[in-house]
Amino acid sequence: MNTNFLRTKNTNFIKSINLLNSKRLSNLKLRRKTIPVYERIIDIVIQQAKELNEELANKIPLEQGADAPLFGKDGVLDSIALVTLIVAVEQAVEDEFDTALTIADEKAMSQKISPFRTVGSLAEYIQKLVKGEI
Amino acid sequence: METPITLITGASKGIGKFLAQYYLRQGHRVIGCSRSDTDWKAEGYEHHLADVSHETDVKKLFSDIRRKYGKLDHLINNAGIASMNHFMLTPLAAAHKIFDTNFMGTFLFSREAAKLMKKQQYGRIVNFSTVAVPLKLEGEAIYAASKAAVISFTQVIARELADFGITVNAVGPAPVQTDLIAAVPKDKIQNLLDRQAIHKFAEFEDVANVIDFFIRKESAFITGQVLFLGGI
Ligand SMILES: NC(=O)c1ccc[n+]([C@@H]2O[C@H](COP(=O)([O-])OP(=O)(O)OC[C@H]3O[C@@H](n4cnc5c(N)ncnc54)[C@H](OP(=O)(O)O)[C@@H]3O)[C@@H](O)[C@H]2O)c1
Repeated sequence: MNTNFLRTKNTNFIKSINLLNSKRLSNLKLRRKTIPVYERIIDIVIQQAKELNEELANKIPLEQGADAPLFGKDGVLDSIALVTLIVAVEQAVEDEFDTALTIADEKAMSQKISPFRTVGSLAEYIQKLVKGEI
Repeated sequence: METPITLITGASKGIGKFLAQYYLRQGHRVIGCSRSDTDWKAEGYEHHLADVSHETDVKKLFSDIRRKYGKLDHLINNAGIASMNHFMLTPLAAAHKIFDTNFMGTFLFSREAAKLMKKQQYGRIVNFSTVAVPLKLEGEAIYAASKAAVISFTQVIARELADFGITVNAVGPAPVQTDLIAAVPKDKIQNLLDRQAIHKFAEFEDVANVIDFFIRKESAFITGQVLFLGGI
């Protein structure tokens, strides 16, 4: 039996699916691009903090949103948990913005107010890094 | 078994090239780097142009690995440079360069590798020291100091990474005939070989043997150790 015609039909079908998918993907990316950078970053921080919370006895009070304390005076994280969060956020931001980034650099360490204090301060600091403002 | 992902710095020649080809033969996927391009290619091998002491190069390399493979099993911090010189005649720039490559390179790669390895709660890091450290080799003050720094670093981060299933050890090769020591006078090398228990050059295979031991799954309880070749 000649199955060639089936094959072409099939590949065309796959092609059209791929086309649809790539269209959908680029639409998604486009839509995401219209969301302000800060929102995209804070979403990432909260998402990663949520995942970290599953492993923590002393959880980050994420119901406080941007004010949720991370590290320092009122913070709930010990240094290992902070490292875990920073690494996870760094990788997620790298993927989202397609860039290479080091959050815990000397600039972060020398800020008057530590960027690791709260969810919001961390997101703000990363926003500056991503925009190349520091 | 899943294909192990092995990253080897300084894989364009010498010990690093041998190790890259050796681990390819063991079925690993090998990623290598150096400042200049390689004169060799192989299936399953991927070469990156990167200076180990440049943070942006290193970050980019790890970004690529993470995107492509999502994990790293082994890091072999082999890239290194030496310069034989009385310390009173050593320019500051030369000292910086040696420390940047031998120590900072090891630090940067270990830091980025640990981030990836931590995710899978498994990893093996092998650093490179040298017998010039315990033998206190005259004329290699800066080189030996940079490799002593690698030992301290290995021992401390072994503790910092222990909870993540990552082991960190170091191998201290005896002289191996590569470009690294080609410029060292013959009598100096002979002198060095005479001070070993086994008065011979080390072979590439001797170095690989130590690394094999460190990276075995069964070596999970071996960390912060330095193993010197030749009987020091
Ligand atoms: N050979 C010995 O007798 C001996 C003894 C004890 C310890 N060791 C140690 O063994 C390791 C390997 O030595 P080897 O004898 O194989 O040396 P080698 O033949 O000179 O090779 C060194 C490799 O490192 C790369 N490299 C150097 N600087 C680099 C940088 N900044 N960034 C990226 N890659 C760099 C080189 O490529 P590019 O130049 O293209 O970058 C090359 O691929 C070194 O750590 C050395 O200290 C060697």
